[in-house]
Amino acid sequence: MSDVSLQVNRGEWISVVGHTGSGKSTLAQHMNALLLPAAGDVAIDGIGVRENRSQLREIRRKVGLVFQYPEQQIFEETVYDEIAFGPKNWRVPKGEIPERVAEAMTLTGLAERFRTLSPFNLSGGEKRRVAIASVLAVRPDYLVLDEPTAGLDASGKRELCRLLAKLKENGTGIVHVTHDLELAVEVSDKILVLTNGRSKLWGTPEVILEELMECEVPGLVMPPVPFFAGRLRDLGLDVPVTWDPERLVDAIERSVRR
Amino acid sequence: MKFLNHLTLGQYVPTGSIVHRADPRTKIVATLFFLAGVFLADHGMVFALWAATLGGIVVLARLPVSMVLRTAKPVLFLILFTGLIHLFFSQGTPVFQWGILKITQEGIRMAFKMGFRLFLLVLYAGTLTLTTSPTELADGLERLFSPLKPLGFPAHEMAMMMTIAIRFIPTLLDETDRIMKAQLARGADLDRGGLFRRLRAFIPVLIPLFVIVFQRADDLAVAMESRNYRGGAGRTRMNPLTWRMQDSVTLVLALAITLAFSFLDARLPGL
Amino acid sequence: MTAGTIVSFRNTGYTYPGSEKAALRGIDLDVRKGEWLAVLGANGSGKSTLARHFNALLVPTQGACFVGGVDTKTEEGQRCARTQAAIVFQNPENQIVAAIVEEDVAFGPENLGIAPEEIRKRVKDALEETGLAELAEKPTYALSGGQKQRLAVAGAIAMKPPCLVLDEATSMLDPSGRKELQQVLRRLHTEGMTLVSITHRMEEILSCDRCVVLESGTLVWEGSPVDLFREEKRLAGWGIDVPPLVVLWRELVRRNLIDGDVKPVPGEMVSALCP
Repeated sequence: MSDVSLQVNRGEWISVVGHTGSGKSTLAQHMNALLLPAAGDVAIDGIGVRENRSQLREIRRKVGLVFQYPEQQIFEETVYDEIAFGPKNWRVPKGEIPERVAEAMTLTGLAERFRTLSPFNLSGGEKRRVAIASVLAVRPDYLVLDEPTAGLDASGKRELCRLLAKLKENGTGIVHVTHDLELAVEVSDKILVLTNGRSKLWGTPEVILEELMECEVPGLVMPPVPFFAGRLRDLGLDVPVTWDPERLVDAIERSVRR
Repeated sequence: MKFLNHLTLGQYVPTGSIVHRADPRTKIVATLFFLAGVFLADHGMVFALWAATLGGIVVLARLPVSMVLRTAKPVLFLILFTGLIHLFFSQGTPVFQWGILKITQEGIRMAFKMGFRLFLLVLYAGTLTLTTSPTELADGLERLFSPLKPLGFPAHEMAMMMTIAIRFIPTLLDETDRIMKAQLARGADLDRGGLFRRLRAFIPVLIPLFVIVFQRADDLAVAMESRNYRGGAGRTRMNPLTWRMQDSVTLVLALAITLAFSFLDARLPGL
Repeated sequence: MTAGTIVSFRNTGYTYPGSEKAALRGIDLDVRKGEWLAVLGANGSGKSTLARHFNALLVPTQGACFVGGVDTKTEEGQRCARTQAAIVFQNPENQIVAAIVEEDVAFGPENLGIAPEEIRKRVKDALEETGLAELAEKPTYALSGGQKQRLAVAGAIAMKPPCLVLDEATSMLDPSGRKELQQVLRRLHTEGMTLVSITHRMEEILSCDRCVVLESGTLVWEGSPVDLFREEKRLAGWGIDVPPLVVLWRELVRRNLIDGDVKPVPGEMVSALCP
């Protein structure tokens, strides 16, 4: 990875999109100081990681990181213990822990009865919710997720996006690392496109789509709906290059009926 | 992947040299001869001869010297430790003293000898793995042990287990790295504390690894069965091992060298 | 069983040992030679269970399954099934046995006791077919997910089975990996191989000739891919992703802007709108 610049604010949803090997997971691990930059700096709420080595743990509390297939990190005997692991590590007062666990479970849609169950006996989707809850229980200010929708079906994806939207509303800064550009354009405020460790494009979804129509980015598949819109536009129809099917159909209808 | 940049792990580097093309059985047995020879050597000059022989093999194998040297990296600490032990704890004529720490003439000699011996042993073994693919090694061992099959020795199973284990080492290292990072991100403290504390802190890494490994064993067994695996009976090889005249010659040469150097070592004036 | 059928299910049922509920019930299905069949259904509908009957990893506890004309409940049938059908599984990592690419492809043929010269030829052909020829001597751990799955396909076709089953083979891959794999499968299909894809992705379903849907272990629907996407209300219950493009396509059809026969594929839709 080299020469990547990015800014994420609270309450914003940024997506980092790129092919496998483009450096997006490396970038994600810089955001909570699991990796330290060789050049330049990473600062979280003003605390630079280079000068403040002693404060790295504090930084990790502020930035929650959910890895790909997070259910693989499960190890405790009960769902409660698994979710309480994070808060315990950060010395959250014992009395507060049950509240944190309950809060995280509610956010991720896990019913009360899951508390005493073994996480290993749950379905794949439930396990993932437990894993994400275990990161949320620490109440991070920013949440970085590496391919959170990997392996999920359409309804699982939608549920996850609803959760992230709610967190964003509550003021959490979301950084969503993915290769699913189709999903990214739908949900993000801004998108960073990485290729071979360098940043290629940065902007709102609309800007990104327009740029992609001009020149192809290796390893990135243009989402079908905007691609279709772009082709229609090339053939003379007056339609926006958008990912929204309804908006596009309306525009097509207007253009064709004319 | 970070781990793998630092260690060669004795990974196979195909250069198509004459050494690579030799039968793995020859290489395994020859290496055993050489390891025995190095183990028994005592004189500096004999060590030099062994080092020169290794150099010759490395040149023949067209391997970059740096790569061969790197195979010793994982044991560098052990080599230094061994050297230091001998340096400070050998009896003999003192050369330097500082409090209770005493360095003797013999100590210096022993430190170099022991350290160098270990170094050579590792390099010889490393050269073997650099010039022989894991499958070849497994095949070679299987053939070498196959006379014991009628006695019930599971030569094929052992070879298959070796192949699979070696194939998954890099994968497991990656996964360990990933899980460690995931738990660090949740605030786990993997760097601090005494031995006991650290072992306990590693439970959140070990348990997930166990789960992955058991699932993998299950999946792999099903995949192997789907690919018609039925044990060693009736299995052929894409590259069957064929013993050639060169292999006999090489083996005889290896034995000759070992015997020659060992004789020389025994004949040289005692220490 | 007719000459053109490669796998036949006759009132097949399967219950896992120790389970009370049947995973498969009363399946009647013929897979024709050379066809590309999609098997769909929600998680737990029995798709993977069905897939494992193709090569006799599982044998029916009720009814029968015939692969290459032989009943898989017999020993001969099981041996036959393993050479008639090969399965590529979901996890790219857990199917690879050897440390080097070409050695892994050789694993299947070696197990079948094929002569070394023939094995080398099959490995070479399989690697060509899957676009991995240049990676023949590379270590398997260094491959990308898409390359690993192509390696699994190479390992399967090296055994020369007439039928290849893919059990959610793309679900752990990124978009370019999926594209690579689909390209290989399409080529195999044009060369006459029978393919069975278990998937929930639209692009893959559209490549198939025929779709069948499983629900709680029974076959509930059969038809062409385009017919499938017209079953608006039932798709979600069958675990099938309805991507935005299909939503768009349906709306265009509904408003009579394009004909109902046009496939939900950008190329065709563009041609239909701008002839």
